[in-house]
Amino acid sequence: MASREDFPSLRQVFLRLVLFRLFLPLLVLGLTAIVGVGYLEEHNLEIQQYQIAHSMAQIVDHHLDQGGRILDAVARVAETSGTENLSLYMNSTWEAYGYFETLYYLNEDNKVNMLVPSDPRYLGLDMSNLPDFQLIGSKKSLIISRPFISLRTGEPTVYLVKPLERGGCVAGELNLGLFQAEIMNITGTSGMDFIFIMDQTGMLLAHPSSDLVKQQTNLGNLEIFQRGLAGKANAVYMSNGTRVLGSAALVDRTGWVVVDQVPWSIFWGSYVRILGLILLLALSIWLILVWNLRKQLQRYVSTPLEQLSRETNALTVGDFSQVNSLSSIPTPSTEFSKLVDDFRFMSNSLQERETALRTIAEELSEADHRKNEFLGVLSHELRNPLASIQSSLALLDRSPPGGEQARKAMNIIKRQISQLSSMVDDLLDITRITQNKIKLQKRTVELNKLVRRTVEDYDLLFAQKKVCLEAEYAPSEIMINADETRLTQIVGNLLHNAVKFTNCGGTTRVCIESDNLHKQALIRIIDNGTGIEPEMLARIFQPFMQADMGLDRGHGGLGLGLALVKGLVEMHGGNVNVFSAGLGKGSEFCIQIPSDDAIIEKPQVTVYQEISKCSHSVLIIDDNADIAEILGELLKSIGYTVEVAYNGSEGIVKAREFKPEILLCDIGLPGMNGYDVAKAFRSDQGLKDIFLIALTGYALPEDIQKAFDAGFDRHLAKPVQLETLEQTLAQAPVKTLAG
Amino acid sequence: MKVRDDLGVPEKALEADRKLIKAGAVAIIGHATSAQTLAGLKVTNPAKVVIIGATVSTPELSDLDDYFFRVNSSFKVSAQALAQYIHLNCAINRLAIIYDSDNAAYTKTYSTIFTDKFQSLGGEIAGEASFSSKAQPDFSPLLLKLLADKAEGLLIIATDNDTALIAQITRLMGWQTPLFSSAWAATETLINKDGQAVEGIKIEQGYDQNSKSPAFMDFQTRYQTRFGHASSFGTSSAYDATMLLAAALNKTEGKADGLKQALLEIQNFPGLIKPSHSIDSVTLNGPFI
Repeated sequence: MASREDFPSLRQVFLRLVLFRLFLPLLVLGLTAIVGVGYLEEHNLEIQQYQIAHSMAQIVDHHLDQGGRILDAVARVAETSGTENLSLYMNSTWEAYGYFETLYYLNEDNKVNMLVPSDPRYLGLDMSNLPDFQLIGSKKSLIISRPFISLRTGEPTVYLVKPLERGGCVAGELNLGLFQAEIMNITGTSGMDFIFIMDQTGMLLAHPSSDLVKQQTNLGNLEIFQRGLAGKANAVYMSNGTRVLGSAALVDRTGWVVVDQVPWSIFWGSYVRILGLILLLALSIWLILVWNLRKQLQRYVSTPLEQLSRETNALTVGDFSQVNSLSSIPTPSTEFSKLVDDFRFMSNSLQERETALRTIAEELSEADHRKNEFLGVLSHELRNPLASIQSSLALLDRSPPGGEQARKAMNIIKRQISQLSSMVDDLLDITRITQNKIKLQKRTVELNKLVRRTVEDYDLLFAQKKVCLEAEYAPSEIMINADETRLTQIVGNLLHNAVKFTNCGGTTRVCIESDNLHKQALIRIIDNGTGIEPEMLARIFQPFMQADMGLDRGHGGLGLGLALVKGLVEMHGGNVNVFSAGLGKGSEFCIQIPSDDAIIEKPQVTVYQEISKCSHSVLIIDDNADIAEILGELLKSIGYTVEVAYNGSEGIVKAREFKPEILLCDIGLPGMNGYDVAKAFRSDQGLKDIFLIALTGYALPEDIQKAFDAGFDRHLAKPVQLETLEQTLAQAPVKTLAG
Repeated sequence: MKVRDDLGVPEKALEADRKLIKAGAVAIIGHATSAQTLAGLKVTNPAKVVIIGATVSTPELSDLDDYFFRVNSSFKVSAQALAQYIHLNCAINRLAIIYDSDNAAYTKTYSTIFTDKFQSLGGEIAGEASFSSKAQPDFSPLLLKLLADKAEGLLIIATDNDTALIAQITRLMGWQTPLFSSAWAATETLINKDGQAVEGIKIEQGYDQNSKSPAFMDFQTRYQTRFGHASSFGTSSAYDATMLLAAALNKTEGKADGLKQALLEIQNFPGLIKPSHSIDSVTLNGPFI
């Protein structure tokens, strides 16, 4: 796994992004654009250069054409007029035109016959050896000679020669200074162009430096000249140690080459300046951009992230105090704002969860504390009846059977066993309620009747403690849909609670009311007993909770009565509330049970066939030898024939021998359990009709259902009252007995 | 390679040489005339910068221990050869001389050497005339005077243009005397401008225009191709001068130090027409007439 050092910082990532993904592409793009612009600029310059050269070529051509026309006119005069007229015409032409250095009229031998301006020194000179004059005989059109230095003036000139029909010719020395002047006009205008004209051999005809022309300098070695001979051309080449860009244009009439050249540095210098400026600008913009973005990154990304990191570290160690400082983090974007909100939400959630966990931990600690107290109370509450039973049994041993002492001892034992059984029932009930495993057997019940019966059941108890029990019933019947047994248990628990905490001479009052507005029935049980401290009111319905939890417990009990009341009332869709003004000021419990959805049901009537108690055979299977023996003796004492087995296999063997009518079988047997025994009985042809009763401590609803599924006909929970056992045994089918 | 224009006059030659030295030139090829060279040496010798003349032939520059070299002979020899040729081969005893005083270092000296030789052979100088080319003179009066001197021939020591004009005028005057010229006018221009008067003119030159030397023929071909016209005495001499300097610079690895000595050590340098000798101011090409 890569360490933190292996990763670049956000700032480095940002710089890389800006450099490689922004600046370099921009730079490449810029350079490409610069190269493109440079190419276009250079191309434009070439076009412009060529246009200038071409214009100059056209000017030269124009002058040559004009000179030729003038010579044509002079030739016509020479052909048709006499010498005198020709002289006059040549003089006027020379003066008017101005560009001919000298006008010659040559005779058939190409000797000077007449010249303007007049100069006797040159009359008669033989010009027949001049190369271009040697063409006169073979050519009738205008001849344009190579450049040469004028014999008469010493200036660079070209001859325009017009042969005459009758022999001889007229010739004009066209001063190349004419082109020189045109060059100066153009170069003076543009300021950077450098124009020169060469003949077909490269000899200069015109040049900004006239001396080079006079010296008949030949520039035929220039690349632009060679290319110019072929027509339009551009070239970059060295000239006098300087790199220049030249364009050449051809003078159509003569094949002369006009070159316009500019120092390459003019183009390149401006290009480099532009390039430098653009690069400088790009660099400046990039630096400003980087500086600004870095500042913004620091402010809006790095700093908030570092702050968030600090907050995270604080949260890690459980410090929620800095969460409020999140509001000071700048949130420039929706995403970052959401991140901060999410972080704040996470922090608050964590804080709430930790608070809840702390509360739960405290509650668990308290529950554990209460559990420990409860175990102490349970031990106390179990030991007391056991101690009474033990003392009573000792008294029974010493007392004569049937005597008063024996009868008292027996009553004590019965009462203590009943109390123990009640405590166990309460424990089972509260367990079932908390596990939501109690199934109410609801039917329509008239509340006044039910409460009246319960009050009557408790009359004796109240009387024994000399507490007055008063009841005030509703004027009309109140029908509710309820489990009669459980509702009786609710009222009984509250009455038991009232009598327990009301001192002698006190009063407990039961009121039944109908709240038609809210479609509910109200049961109020009001006493003027010890009352409840305000801080206990909220916890009074919690399991194992008693106001008096000290060692000097004056009222006994496990503290489950009110928890059972609350659980059972809520299972009926109602609720229970308690009111007390404080210690010594009595208390009031108010039960609200819905009355609107009462369903009229026919009471389920179980019809059992009455059977005679005589001649019944019972097989008892229980691994607890004491229970098996005492139960067997008890059944024998009331007339049953009894056999006992201590495990399932033995029971099956004995059943095949004994052929009992009824089987009382424990469930938690070693090896083959009670369910397996029942299945074995039901699958055995000789045993399948025996009436099977499960007698077990497994008394949860699912345990009961499993018993029925295995084949048991009835289910009884240990410990069982003899009367209940007798009633259940009596339910065995008649046909069984008939056998 | 640095190029400076000496404009054909001594003052400008001096200025051009000064500029080239300042620009760091290790050697100079030029000038065209003796007068210009004499002027230029005033700065090149003190600066110990070698100057190689292509067409300079004045004997005034011979036998001097300086930094001047040339690839053609001193016209002393050629002038004497011409005098001998005229007197012995053409059987002319009375000769007239006309020369351009603008290049007196050449023309006047040439005239003197020629005269001395011609007279030493028994000849006589019937008359001598000079003119300034820059003044565009009328040659007719000068030539009429020489004609009056009854000369049997005329020696012209001038440029090609002036030589052509003088020759034509002599013919226009009806003076059909034999014409002679120094090497200075031996160019194509002379032929072109001289018309029919060029027929019969005899020119002395240390340069064989009809040489069959392979190097010269190759040079001529390439020159014609390059410049569109035939090479001349001046161009071939300039080529020889350039090649000679290159050979010497090869020895000094392009440096000025030891360049003079390197040039002095070169013997029988292969010129275009025949081996050239650069032993101080003496190089033997020709003379040819």
